[in-house]
Amino acid sequence: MPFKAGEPPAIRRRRLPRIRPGRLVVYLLLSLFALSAIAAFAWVFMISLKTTPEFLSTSPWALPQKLRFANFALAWKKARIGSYFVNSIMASSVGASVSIIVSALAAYVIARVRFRLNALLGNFFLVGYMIPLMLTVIPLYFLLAGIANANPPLSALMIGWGPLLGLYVASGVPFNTFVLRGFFESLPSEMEEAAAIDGATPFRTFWQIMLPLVTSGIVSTFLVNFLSLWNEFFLALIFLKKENATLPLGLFYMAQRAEYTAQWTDLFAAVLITTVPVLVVFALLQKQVYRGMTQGALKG
Amino acid sequence: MRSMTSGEGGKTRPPRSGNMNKRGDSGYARSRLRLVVPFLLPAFLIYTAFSIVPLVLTVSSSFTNWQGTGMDRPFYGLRNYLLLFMDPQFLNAAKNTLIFAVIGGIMVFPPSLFIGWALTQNIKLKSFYRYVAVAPLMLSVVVVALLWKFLYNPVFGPINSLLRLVGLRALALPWLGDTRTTLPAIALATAWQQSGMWILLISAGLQRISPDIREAARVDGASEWRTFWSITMPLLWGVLRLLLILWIIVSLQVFAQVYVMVPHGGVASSAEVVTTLMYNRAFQSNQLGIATAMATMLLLAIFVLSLLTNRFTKRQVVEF
Repeated sequence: MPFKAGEPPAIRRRRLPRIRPGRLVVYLLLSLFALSAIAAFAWVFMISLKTTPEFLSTSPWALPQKLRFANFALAWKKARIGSYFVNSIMASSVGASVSIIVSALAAYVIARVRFRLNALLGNFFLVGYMIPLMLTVIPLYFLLAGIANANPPLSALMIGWGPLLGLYVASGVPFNTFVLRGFFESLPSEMEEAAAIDGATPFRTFWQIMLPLVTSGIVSTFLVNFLSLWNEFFLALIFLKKENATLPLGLFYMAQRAEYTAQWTDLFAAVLITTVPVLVVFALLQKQVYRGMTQGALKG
Repeated sequence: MRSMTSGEGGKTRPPRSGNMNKRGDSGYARSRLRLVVPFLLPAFLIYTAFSIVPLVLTVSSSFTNWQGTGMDRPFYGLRNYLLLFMDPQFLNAAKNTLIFAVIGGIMVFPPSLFIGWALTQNIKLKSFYRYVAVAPLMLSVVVVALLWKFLYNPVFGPINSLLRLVGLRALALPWLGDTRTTLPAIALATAWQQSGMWILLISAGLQRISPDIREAARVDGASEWRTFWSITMPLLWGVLRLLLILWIIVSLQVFAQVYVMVPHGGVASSAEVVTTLMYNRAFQSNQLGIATAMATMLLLAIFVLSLLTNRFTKRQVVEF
């Protein structure tokens, strides 16, 4: 059988189609990408365990001398990351829930009740996609601050959390109404008719029959809303004071301070305190998050 | 879609007798109209107050010489816009914003396309890779900006210490302190975070392409490479267009990355972008007229560029 010395390797290569160089390159690049991201966070974690003198005197790659979590306590208490954390949880959950509630109501009516302004209102809420609040919010701040100056009793309403939460709720409305509208439209109308014939009021039909059927849509839109508010920076920067910041804002002020005090290590700890809960929640609810994010974009 | 839907619908559907059904329907439709106002009002009011009113305020203020005190907004015509076009700081910021969008777009596209594609292949640890790829998108821009600021740090940053370790001392630049590298360095951090969205949507888009089409191409003898460029890419075009438009919207209003990574717009304003300049004009020098004129121009730019992208990429979409 063997005619030439060169033939067996050629045959062997054909017999093992699994080991393709292309596949190896894919694995190599993916691992490199994943490893660099993990290494970056591992490095942040390592530094968060060091003391400031240790950090300043050793190489950035040196392992910490011992496991000490004092920086986390320091960041949580002294740098007030703990109270920023609570603020962020409050702001994100209130903002996201209220936004989902008002959007679900509006989306239901737009999707399922035929009246004259259906299409117009649907498009009206969609316009928000094209208006980045970031570019339009500054005059609103000055207007509200002016009103607060002229009427001190109103100031609690005009600056701080009030308008910020209003903006947070409004910022979710375009996405939420769009996605939930799609969900409501996909339900068969027989369900509503049946409920009506059984004597349910329109509100009860909505509340007890239609709303539970779009639970999965509500869960994933809530997650997308919550995450984007948890991370929101610009509006908080404009409307909140240093003392009652949200996490991203508090982190920013802490980083500004570190430029002068060189207290870097507790800043690294604070970055982890901000990041880890999000990464854990995301790990647990990956499917819902992916669905929520692709729904808005790909309609499906 | 949901099994519960058909099940319950089937069970409770009443026998249809034409007359009664008709009467019930119209009565029901009428009674449902009562929901319209109370259901729409909360969303309408909040959305109007906190999305439409700010827009109207912004555009209208751009024609005034508002100093931010009270609502005293003296009419100023188009002068803010004329001033902006003669303002070297604004022209620099506008140029930087465009450069940022282009550089960042180039940085985000090829790796995302590759990873998004790889995640639809039959590989091991797929969900782990997808998690790592999408995770940056879940982080606050402030966290991402700080993380990269640490990474770029010339004293303790791992990037430069790695470069020195492998003998590339000459390449260990002060990335955020050099006028040539600041903007690309910030663009890379932004591209890293945004790639999460790209990867997610690209792999979702690829999964919606029927494997039969690719299989058919393969049977016809097309190489994997050829299949990708001639079959997959045209089918993916709808998703790529959308991502391009999203990138235009995101990159032209970049703020936090610049604001957190380089205070005061970087060395010699080398990373000053329109939004950071707008913020300074509004809050440092109280020139609300100029600031809102900038915002209006940026809004217009985003709108026009998205529209043009939409128009010029439309015909290439392949329906599937």
